[in-house]
Amino acid sequence: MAETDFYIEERDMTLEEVIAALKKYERKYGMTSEEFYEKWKRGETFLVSESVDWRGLFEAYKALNSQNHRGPKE
Amino acid sequence: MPAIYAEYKKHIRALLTEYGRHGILQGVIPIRFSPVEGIPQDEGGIIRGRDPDLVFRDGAKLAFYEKVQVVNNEIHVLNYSYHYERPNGYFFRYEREDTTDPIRKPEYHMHVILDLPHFVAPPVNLEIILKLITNNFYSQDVYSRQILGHEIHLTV
Repeated sequence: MAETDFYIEERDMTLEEVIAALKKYERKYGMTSEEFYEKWKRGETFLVSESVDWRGLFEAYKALNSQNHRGPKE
Repeated sequence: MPAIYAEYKKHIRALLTEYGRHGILQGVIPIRFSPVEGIPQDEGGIIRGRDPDLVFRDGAKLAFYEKVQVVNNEIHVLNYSYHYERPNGYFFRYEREDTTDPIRKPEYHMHVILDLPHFVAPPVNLEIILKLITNNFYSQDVYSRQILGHEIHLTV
């Protein structure tokens, strides 16, 4: 197998990146992430595609948003 | 415990680098990390390989997501999704999700060609998925040649 061009682009997601990724799902499925998350918690598994990622991103959003409000670590 | 999650991140990086070096994956290989509430940031979080997806040498794509936590000095992938899709639209996706209906939606399941149904599946990880994809779709042997090139026209 030949070696080809590739590169690893590895980084921590920023709050802005997480929000952008959430907005893609919100546009695609026509509901807010909060609405999706509440439906998920109620067990309404109407959505199969990309639901795991959406849920995880929303959880990441909550974590990053909460860090943002706490301010930077001293 | 912080070292265990850090080592796991290195493992993911090394794994994807290996497939890049072998020419299976090409171009940008994205790895994104983010925290999750309830898990200290150095003991777990979310790992994504999406936006852009990982691209194989024939244009097929892989997107992955893992929610990881170190428990008792071991890595636990609490939820995951590994979605492989060929340029013609054929896809499969292995997932681990919470469920309230273990028959229609087993915790560990997979989708093939269509989003439904959820077929029960064994637990997998990124390493297994990459081997599965490579051995089935990117080998030069007879087995791979029997898989590729087929057209499917079907109605469920």
